[in-house]
Amino acid sequence: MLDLTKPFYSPAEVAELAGVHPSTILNYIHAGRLYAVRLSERTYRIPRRAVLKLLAPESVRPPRIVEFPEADVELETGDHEQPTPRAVRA
Amino acid sequence: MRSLGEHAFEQRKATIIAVLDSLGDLEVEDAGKAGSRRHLGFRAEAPGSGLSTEALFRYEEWFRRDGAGAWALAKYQYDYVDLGRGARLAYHRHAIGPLSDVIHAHCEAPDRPPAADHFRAYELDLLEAHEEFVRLYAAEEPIDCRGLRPLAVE
Repeated sequence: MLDLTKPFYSPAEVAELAGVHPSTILNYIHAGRLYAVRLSERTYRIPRRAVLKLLAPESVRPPRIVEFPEADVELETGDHEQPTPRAVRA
Repeated sequence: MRSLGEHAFEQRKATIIAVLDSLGDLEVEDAGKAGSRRHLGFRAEAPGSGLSTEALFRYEEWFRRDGAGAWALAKYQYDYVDLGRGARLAYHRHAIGPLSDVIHAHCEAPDRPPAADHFRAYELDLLEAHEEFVRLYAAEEPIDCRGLRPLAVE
């Protein structure tokens, strides 16, 4: 069972976890097989969830998608502001 | 954004789901597909998968069918909430009071009182907004409201 505690990982860290060369992880990113946030030309950050999906996909709960095709949707109301959640301290 | 036929709409929805699902725990709502108005909502809590939530990515879009039966974007709300710092950055397009279709931004940072309730912004696509938000989150950069210009809304 993978024990990942950080929100983001570098390609080198993911490569070590996966037991492959870092260039393999970069290839995965460029091929769209692994999601990564590109911070600069050479800097990527891979979300923890993306790492889990790559290395332990059975441990990742799929997205919850609900559909209401017959629902009557309002368009005319204006602001749908929601209060900003207060800061959560670890 | 140009109007989207049903297939293009579903493809775009699938692309957004794939992106957000790689970021955090994702909930998606799609309402009104059978009618003439449709609401699409995404809520991703990052990092998800058992860790405490640090950031929220809330994206909502409302569509109406055009004359050709395709879906035209009528209004949107794209919000990024940095829970760790109690800050928010959002890009919206919707009515404000008597004014219809106002493109604007919201920005709240805990160390600076808001200069305005609304700020000037330009229209952008959901994935464009998301790219800006996720870079802030991944780089651990705080939301900075100083570069935004207040928008006077009577």
